Amino acid sequence: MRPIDWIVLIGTLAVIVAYGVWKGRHKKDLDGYLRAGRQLKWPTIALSIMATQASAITFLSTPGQAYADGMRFVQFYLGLPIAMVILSITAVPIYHRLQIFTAYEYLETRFGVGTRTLTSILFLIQRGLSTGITLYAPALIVSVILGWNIHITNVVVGLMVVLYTATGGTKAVSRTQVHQLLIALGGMAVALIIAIHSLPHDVTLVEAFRVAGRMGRLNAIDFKFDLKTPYNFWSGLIGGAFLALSYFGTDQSQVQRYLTGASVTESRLGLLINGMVKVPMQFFILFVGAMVFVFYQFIAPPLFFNTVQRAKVATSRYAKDYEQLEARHRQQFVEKRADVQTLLKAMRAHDNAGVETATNALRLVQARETATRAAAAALIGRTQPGADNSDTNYIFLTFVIDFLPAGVVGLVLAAIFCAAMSATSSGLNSLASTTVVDIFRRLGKPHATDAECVRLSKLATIAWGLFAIAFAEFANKLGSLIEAVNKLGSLFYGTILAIFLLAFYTKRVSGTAAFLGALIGEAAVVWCAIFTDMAWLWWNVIGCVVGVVAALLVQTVVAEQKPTSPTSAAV
Amino acid sequence: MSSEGKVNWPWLYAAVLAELALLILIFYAFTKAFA
Repeated sequence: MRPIDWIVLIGTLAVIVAYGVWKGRHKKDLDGYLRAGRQLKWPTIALSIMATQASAITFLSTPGQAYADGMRFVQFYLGLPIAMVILSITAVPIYHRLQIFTAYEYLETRFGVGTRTLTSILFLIQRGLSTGITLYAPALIVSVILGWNIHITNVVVGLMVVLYTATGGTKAVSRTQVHQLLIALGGMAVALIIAIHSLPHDVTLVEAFRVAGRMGRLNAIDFKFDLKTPYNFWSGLIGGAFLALSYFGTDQSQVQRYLTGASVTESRLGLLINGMVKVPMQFFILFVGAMVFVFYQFIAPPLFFNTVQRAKVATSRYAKDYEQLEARHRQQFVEKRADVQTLLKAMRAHDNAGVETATNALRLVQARETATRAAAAALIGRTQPGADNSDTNYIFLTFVIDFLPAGVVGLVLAAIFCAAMSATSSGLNSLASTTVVDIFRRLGKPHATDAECVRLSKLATIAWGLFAIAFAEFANKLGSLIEAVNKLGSLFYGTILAIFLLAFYTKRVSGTAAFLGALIGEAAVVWCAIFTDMAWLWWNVIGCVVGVVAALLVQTVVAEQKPTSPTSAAV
Repeated sequence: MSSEGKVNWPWLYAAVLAELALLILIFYAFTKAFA
């Protein structure tokens, strides 16, 4: 890091935090603090929704994923626009009509306080842990690549978020998110331009595309139906739609973003714009990774991108084995670069047979290189059992640090920390709302004044912020943790969605039937997770469908059970 | 699209879904064109 990078990084973050504090400086009642006085317009809502979902790991890990596995991850988002349309038609008018603070508040009007409390607690557990990961992930990656102290990074970033989130509430969160997302996307755009510009001068953009495509990195769509493949068209469209319905429709960190809308129209427009922009945005981030991949076809990449693990294996008893792998990897790179040049020559000569021959040779050497990288990862796993032996998260930042010019490195780091702060602030904000509205005010002190609730919301934001920082301090094994948190979410999202769908669409299903249906749906998800190879995106579908069908069957069988409250909230 | 103006919701929902369909087609063409 050069001085200009530090100036850009510290300057950007300081301005963002000061802006957040300034925007939220006015004294507020609970509505002002938790729903921004329901005054926000759709552009702010749309960007806030996108910024909540796009954490630092999105900007760090997604390009690495394209580097290692191609662009097929974009299919994960295909169900999202469908979910946005469904939520705009159903959930948004109901939430607005009931003037609720949290999504779980609505469940009480339909199924009673027990279901509301259960879903609130499930949310607090899941979101509390994942907010810690949101904070921890970029700190770990930056500490590995730049050698920063991970503890200081965690604490400093965490406290900056707590400062403006606690003082300014939802309005400060949403307003800062607009700028944070724009900075993050701007940083990625600059990185993309420089990646393309850094390619050898005789390689055109179309040739770069063709090299990436021939090497399987532009595989955006795969129509093959396979329940075991994590990302294909069908799992993305169907499983992704269910996941997005649950995440955007029932997760308070998202629901709170569009509850701030000045009207149903503003909230709906916010969600729909998110539906229109999100898929191209993810495609763009993946495309950055694909171009970084092409760049590393001409410049030798390291065998393993995580420098800390690399250093550890170099001083272990496997050091010689690792050196041999590095030598093999260097040799394979030389072969691969020669094959890429042959491919380019064949393309320029419009020699189709030559293109096919060069592609086949390239794929063979690439397969050998992949095997060498896998052997290195296995060696690292043996050196440190339980260590994170995936280097996907480190690829993009390694490229940024090694090849981007002074100033731009600071900008990209600022982009990454802005993304971390925006996702963390939404998490803390929603945790505070649920703690105060669904737990404290509902179960503890129903007649608490607005002033008391605002004060407690600020304290809850600080407490959850400290919890997230503490969890980040003690967390390790990044790769497995992130996977665990994602899978943990999918274990419950389907079932929670089932409860909400029953509440939205049925008038006669009682609280008991919904509860039993949810238990059966959850059991089905757990069974799939333990006893089948089903990809985790499908768990959302299973939990939701089984939960709804089981609740309807229970309601039919136990016909004498009266509905809890035939409510006007059902549509 | 104005915050105050009337929004034709069915058309907007259709536009979101049509954009998705178009993106899928573009992504598919992109995949095939450079494979």
